[in-house]
Amino acid sequence: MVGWIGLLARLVVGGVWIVAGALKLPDPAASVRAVRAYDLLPEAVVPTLGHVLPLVEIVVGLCLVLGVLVRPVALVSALLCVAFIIGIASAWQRGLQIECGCFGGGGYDANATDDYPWEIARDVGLLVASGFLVWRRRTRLAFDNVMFTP
Amino acid sequence: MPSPYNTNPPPAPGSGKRNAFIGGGIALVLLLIVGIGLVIQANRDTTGDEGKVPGSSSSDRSTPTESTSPDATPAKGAPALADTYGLGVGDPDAPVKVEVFEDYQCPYCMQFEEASHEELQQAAAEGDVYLVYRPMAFINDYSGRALNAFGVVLDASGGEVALKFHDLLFANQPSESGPYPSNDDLIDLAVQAGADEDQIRRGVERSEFGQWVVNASDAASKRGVNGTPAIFVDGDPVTGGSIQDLVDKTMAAVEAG
Repeated sequence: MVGWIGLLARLVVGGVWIVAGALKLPDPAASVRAVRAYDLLPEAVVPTLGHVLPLVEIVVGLCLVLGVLVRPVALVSALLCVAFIIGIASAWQRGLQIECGCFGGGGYDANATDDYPWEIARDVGLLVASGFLVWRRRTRLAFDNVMFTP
Repeated sequence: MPSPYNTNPPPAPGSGKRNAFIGGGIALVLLLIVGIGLVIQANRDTTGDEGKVPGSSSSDRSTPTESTSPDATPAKGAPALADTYGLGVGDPDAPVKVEVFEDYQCPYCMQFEEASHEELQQAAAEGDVYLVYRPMAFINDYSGRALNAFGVVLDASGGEVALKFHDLLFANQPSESGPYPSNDDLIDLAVQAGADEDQIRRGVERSEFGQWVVNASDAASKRGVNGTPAIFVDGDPVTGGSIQDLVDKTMAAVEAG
């Protein structure tokens, strides 16, 4: 039973990551601007982070959906969620009105403050599911089960 | 109590080592994929690459052959390129400097323009304000095409015509869901503003100022502009609850000198 719950968690979290990454991949410049809008990191690392985030999201998503290296990848997924929660909470606290840029876009949004709680709730949900996969890494229908001997 | 059934076979000798080998190998491949992807993405992002800047083309084209405006603006303070990405209107030494960051596709920018452009351009003509329009493009493909066309017109026909084209672009703004003006429509509008079709067609169609458009948007992002319209008075952002509020505060700052 736990194995099936794990499969569900993998598909949901992995699916979200794939969509989030794929939507940002076509416009790297916009992705960089979305990172910059948070005004949290030094300009020296902003472009690289903007370029690499969508790639990491897609790789993490594919690994979770396929069940490859579930435990370490779920750990990366959980850390990303923590980072995004901190980013959004900090933007909220500083009164910034920005789109989270989670699924492309980013930048100013007049209704941003209404969306922050929902965005944080979503990321907490993904964090919990990722944590579950770190804790119970054996899941159904995973490549890990074939590749690794118990 | 230990289960009498042992469903799992005992671990094969050396399986831990084998697992670590496989796991490490896959992790390495994943890192490689991300690394290669990073190089590709960094290459696709042309931000900061050198591109043609308005005014860099032969200077003899920058003077319009005939002035279309009857009430001639004095030569000093005539609209001209300002700091690479802006169109400065009025005397750069005027007591107040107002910068307007805007996207040609942004409906709120159109509202801001409708409510403010006459007053602001009047104040600029009277020497009360140095007005700098800083167009950027971040909404959609039309944003970029319109800004490229603006760059072409500024380059080929000069500031006076570019300012008229700027006002016309907002007056004829398409809906965000389309249909969007074609390049021919943009050229027609530019001609209406006073540009010479032969001088601009090629630049509009070939997106000759495409790189300038990308860099202009990046420069705005680095100024902390995350949305449009964004207004700065003497370098400080103006905040307002509504577009009218934004206009009122900007005009108040201009009148205060």
